[in-house]
Amino acid sequence: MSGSASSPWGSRQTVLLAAALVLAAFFAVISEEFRSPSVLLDQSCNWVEVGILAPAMLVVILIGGIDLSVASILALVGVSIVRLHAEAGLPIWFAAAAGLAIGAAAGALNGWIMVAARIPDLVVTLATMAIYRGLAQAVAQNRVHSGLPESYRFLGDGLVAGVPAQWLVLIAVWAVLYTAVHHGRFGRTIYGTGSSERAARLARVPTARVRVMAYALSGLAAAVAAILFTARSNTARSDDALGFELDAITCVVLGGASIAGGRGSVPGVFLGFVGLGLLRTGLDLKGVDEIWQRLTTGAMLIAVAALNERIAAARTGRRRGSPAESPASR
Amino acid sequence: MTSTASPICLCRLRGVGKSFAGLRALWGVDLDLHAGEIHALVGENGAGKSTLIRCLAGIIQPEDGEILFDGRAVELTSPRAAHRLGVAAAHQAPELFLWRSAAENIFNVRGLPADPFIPWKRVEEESREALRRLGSEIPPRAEAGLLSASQRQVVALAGALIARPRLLILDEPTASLSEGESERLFRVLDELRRGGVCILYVSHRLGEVLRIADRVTVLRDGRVVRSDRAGALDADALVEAMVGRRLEAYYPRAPEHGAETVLEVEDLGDERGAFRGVRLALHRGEIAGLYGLVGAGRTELGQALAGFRRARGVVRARGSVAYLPEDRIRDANLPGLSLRENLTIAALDRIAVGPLIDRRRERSLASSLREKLDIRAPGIEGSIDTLSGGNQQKALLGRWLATEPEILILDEPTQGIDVGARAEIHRLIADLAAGGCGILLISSDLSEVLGMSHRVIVMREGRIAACFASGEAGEEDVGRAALPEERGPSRRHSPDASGPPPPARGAWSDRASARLARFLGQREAALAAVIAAIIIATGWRSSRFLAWESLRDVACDTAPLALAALGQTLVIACGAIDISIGSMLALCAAAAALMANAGCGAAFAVAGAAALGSLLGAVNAAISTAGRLHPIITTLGTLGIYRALFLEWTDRRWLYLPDTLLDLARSGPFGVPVSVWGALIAAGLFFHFLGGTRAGRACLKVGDNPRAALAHGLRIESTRWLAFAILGGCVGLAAVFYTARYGTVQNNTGMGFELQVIAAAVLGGAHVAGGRGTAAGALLGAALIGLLASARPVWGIHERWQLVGVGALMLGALALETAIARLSPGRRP
Repeated sequence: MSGSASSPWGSRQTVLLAAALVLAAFFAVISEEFRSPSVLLDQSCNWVEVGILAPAMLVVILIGGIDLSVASILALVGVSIVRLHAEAGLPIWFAAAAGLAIGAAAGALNGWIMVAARIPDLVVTLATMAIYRGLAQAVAQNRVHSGLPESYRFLGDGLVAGVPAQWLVLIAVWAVLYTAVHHGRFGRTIYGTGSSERAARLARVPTARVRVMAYALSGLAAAVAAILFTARSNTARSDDALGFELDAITCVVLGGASIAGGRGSVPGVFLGFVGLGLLRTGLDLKGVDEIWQRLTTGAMLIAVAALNERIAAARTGRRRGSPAESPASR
Repeated sequence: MTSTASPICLCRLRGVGKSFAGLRALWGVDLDLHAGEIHALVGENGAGKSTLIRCLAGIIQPEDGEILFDGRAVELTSPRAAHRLGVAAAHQAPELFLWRSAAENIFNVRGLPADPFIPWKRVEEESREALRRLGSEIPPRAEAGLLSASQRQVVALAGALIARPRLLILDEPTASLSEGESERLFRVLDELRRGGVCILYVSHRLGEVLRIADRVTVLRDGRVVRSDRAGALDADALVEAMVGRRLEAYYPRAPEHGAETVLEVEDLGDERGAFRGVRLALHRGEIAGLYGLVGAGRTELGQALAGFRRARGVVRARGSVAYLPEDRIRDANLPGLSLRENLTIAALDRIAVGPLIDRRRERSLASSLREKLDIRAPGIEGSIDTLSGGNQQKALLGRWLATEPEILILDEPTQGIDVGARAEIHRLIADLAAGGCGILLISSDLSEVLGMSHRVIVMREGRIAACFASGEAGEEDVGRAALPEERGPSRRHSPDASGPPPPARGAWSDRASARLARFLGQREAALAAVIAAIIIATGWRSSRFLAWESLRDVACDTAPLALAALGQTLVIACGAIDISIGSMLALCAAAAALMANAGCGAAFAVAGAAALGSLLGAVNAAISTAGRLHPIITTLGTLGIYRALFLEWTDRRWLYLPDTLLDLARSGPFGVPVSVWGALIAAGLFFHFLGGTRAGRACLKVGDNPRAALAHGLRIESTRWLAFAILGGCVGLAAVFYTARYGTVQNNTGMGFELQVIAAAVLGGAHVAGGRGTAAGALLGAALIGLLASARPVWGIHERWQLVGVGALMLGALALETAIARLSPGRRP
């Protein structure tokens, strides 16, 4: 096992993989539906959006931040695309491109406010969570918008050689982020900033730009998720995706990332995502109330985050996860 | 100047030893401190003086030997324990609570009076008295964060004085005092000595030491080398004892340097006054040693030359500048990342192909650096934390070698590393110079500076004091040039005095602090003015808005918000935050509704909700403490958990409140609803708690400066528990009043409540980094947000803009505050 906090593979991934397999086996035994590939395939589609938000959330958490506004950006982009197409008459792919731009700009604005006004990440994204949701309501005007062309909806429900098109998008997103984080310059600056922002700045890493780019990426991912979401459901509402930020953060934490920044990997988060998805799908299929799923997610987030901080503290020999060094007190 | 005939030994150190990270700082130190004497402690930087006084002050604990007080061995496990034995210390760079007043900080050591309501008048009077005794004009109400470095030191001195110590430890007390202030201090010290106090006096000013001390102890390399009566010593004897005759170390010689200048500096002055009027030139292949005492401005000069500190003047660099900071653990290491990543982080251009890193090229670069620098590590993939200090330092040097710099600024490159690694680093530095790199070597190690450099530049009190060519000067010449001048006209220029010319910086800083204090005092006034303006404007538009019923409704809407904002202010002041309060509110409301519907009286239902809220808040605190988790993650988790529990409990059905609860928001004494009274009474209690009790002040201090809080014996964790539980109780009350207003508890009750509450607290002046917040501010912040919600329909603005407005308002207020802080000097960076 490699000792570096940035290595993509490690013992955590093995444990997660084992846990996911055990979970899958367990549900396969107790639930007949869980054994049916078509049901599983169908269910997996509900998880695509979180799957796209999670790796971008990892990037944000790696620099020691947190993005609570992604679900609101998702809703804002969704209603914007549909209205731009259906009411402003923009060709759908132009509308989608505009949506991507809106998402990236909303994310970059988050980062810019943090850097320019020196406001902690949590406070900024807590505020923009409300602001972007409010804007989504303003764009939606309390209506459900629909009427998307077939070519666009193919992204949501089409199959390419038997594989759902949204899976292909999902795989592409993970591949790009894996490359950027673990093999790109960008990834180095991300880990450097998260490991010690001060030291990174003294090593001439442009930490302010890194922060803005990380949040812009998070916004862009939310926009991609919005495209898939609207394509699948053929509608957009201002209250779409409520609570998705919590699921994304839970995936990241399950994947072994430290909330204090600097530690975590894309494969880990992928396994965290698969694990959470399997668990929730299994519970869903067994008819367990959504309430209990919510409860498990919250409890798991806390328990695993505490575990991660312990592990990180043991590895570096000091209290990196101590309350004094976290997003709110940056 | 004579000591008593038979001195009483107050404190005795026997064989005290201490090491840091395997490096010995103190070797078996013996020291007797007598009652009624001034005992001076002198030595070069790194001789072990501060380690020794930190042991005596209870900040660190020695490994070997023992400390005896009044003949009994004691364990100084904390500053509190030391204080109980009568030890008070004034350190050179004291840890103060930056948002608190000078007076309150003066009471850090002694502790604030334990009265039920802290007698601030008396605190201020005693502080003013102590400050006056020291000849200082600092207003007791001045905010500590706005004081200059020297004023902060005076505050620490005053604090040590009012603690009425038996052993008073002073670390460089006159370093930034004016002549008059110093004289006054000496008079005070003399009085104390007559009163039987022992004063351990650490100073570089040898003349001063010889004048006021009864006895002098000289430390060198962690050992006592001389201890004698002051009368038996003179300055030359002290310098000789301090510098000593070292073993002649071998230093590799760099070849003659070129004539071409790589770095030129003219009239460079630091914006915060750490140095000024600096002029120097660095040539290709030259090693220029920069020597000076701690606080002489060398580190700051290095930072400014590297571009990490703002300075005014001309800097002409021909080529790239690399900078190795002094504190490598904090400022250079990228902990958790591998040696490879640490080596290449500054040279990504060399190993990247477009946006991607070429792994092969990176590995070969890292491996070649590891070989060249002889970094002893099992490989390049291990984490940098696992390397020894010397190997870490070599790796950080390697990081800059990878960028092939023309200019290299090294700040204490061999501090705290073993002899072998030291020699290797010296060889590397010489090699680099031979390769044409211009090197500025900042060091407090005289022999290193003299041995390595072509030229030695000496800094003293922020200025370049002398410049010696290699071989032109010995250790004693350089050491003497670095010592502060004895009393003379130029002494008035303390390092802090570089601000605008008269009036002196002290007065100017006071004025700025007064202005800022006035502004902060005006925050409440400004909020009140905005509130009044909105009421008047809205009333103008619709006169019905000003009717009694309408205003009462506004107050009713505001009451729950105000209650929760008061609690959140407390939690934020502690340096934490709770975002689960929306779900908490739903749970507490359900509890109250179920109790009331089961026939409980309103009072019982309210008490039940408050108790449940306190419990939920305590759970948040418990999870954060036990899991060492940041409150964001904890409360993000409990946000979901509490909501789930609520839905499970109510089975997703709406709960209707009985009239007993609805009446709380409808009627009450003097026609004002009970809920409004509740919020007002809570505000009064908070006002007392935050302003007048030690527990309340502790909340503010814990968030202000956790290190200072620890040093002064405040319990951080229990303070946070208390704050979270109080917030929970407030949310419990708010829950009842909130639902009483709407009549039902629904599935989405309380969603988005946390944002409104945090916004109210922040608008009211709670500082998100902790340390600040007032009851009046929270009340007014809540009133503003409640008012906006009520006035919105009058202006025909759709409900959906409410949250947008609240979020934007909060960000705007914070951005405004950052802008104001940038304009005011001395604020924490």
